[in-house]
Amino acid sequence: MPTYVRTEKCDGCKGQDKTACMYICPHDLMKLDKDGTDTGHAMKAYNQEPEQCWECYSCVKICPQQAIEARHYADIVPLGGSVQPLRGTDSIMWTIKFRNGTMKRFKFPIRTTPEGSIDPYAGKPEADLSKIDEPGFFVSCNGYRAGDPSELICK
Amino acid sequence: MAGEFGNPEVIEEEVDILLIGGGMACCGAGYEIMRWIEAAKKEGHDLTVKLVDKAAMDRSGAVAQGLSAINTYIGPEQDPADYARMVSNDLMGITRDDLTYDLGRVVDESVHLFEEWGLPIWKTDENGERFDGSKGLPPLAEGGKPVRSGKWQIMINGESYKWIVAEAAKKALGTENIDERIFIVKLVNDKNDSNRVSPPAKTKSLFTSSRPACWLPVVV
Repeated sequence: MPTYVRTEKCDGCKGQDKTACMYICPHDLMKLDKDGTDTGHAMKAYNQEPEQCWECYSCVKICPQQAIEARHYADIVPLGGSVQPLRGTDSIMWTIKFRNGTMKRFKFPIRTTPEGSIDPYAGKPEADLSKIDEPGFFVSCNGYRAGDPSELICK
Repeated sequence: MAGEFGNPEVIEEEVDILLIGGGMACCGAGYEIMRWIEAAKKEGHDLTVKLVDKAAMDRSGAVAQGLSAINTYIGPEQDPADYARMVSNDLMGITRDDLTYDLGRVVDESVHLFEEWGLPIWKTDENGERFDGSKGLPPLAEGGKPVRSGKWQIMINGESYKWIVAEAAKKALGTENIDERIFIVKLVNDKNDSNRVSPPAKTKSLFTSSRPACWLPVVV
């Protein structure tokens, strides 16, 4: 069963209509059980079709309560092992537990700017409509290379 | 909720430009096109654009879970023609050298943009020591040296690669021009030429609004 929600940690994204895991799952697998008829746990998310889950970890990474874990198939993660990420705003930490008890932690940076701070056109020139038929993009000064066509083999 | 289609409402929408998909390609297209739309608006042409993604843009497409490296970064010491020659050699000459050459000319630009937006890129300092992307060495656009794995590849801390690019695309396009959780199910062919999607001046799209499953037959 690839990803599963720990109901004691899940808070249904504080009673909203669409939980974070529902939003991000590329396969539409996560679902909020509003009244508890599907799982017995009201207002908690669950993976409605685990066989279709391809364990992309999108839900695991986005859950604000870290309530989702993945139980991989035994060829990658034998019973007793676990792989759990904890994604922060600028780094992600992976906790790998082996079934003999060894635990390893890996921390990697993921972003150098604060989330939500991107200003996509800051400092970029405006597009010049007269140049629309020319090759290259509107921002032709940020690393665009004229190159040396005489070096090509096939002309 | 499951299993009932019912009688969904059919909504018809007309846009000038429809970007199908929310992966790296359409995020880049959206970023590029909005600037041109602004310029066109100044000359009195009002163009509408819409991006549709079958999932959520933040983790959409092939780069969804991130990458450890960017496969092509030319860098100041190499020439796009070098790159075109490498590709031609690799594919035994069955290549469009003009297209690979053009790609080589613009790829550095894109990588500089990614780094500006927040993608951590590994760097080497003057002593040859390697640092990961968060250690504050100068960005590539200012002459920072990437850590290479081979002649063309550079190493990155790319877990949020797609997240960052999606954020830039969302800000460039504006969330009102983006619809997530929409499937394109059909492109309607031109009446006279079955190899073409029919190209009238405007793009019309019909979709039903029975969320969470939205269907989008597209009449282009």
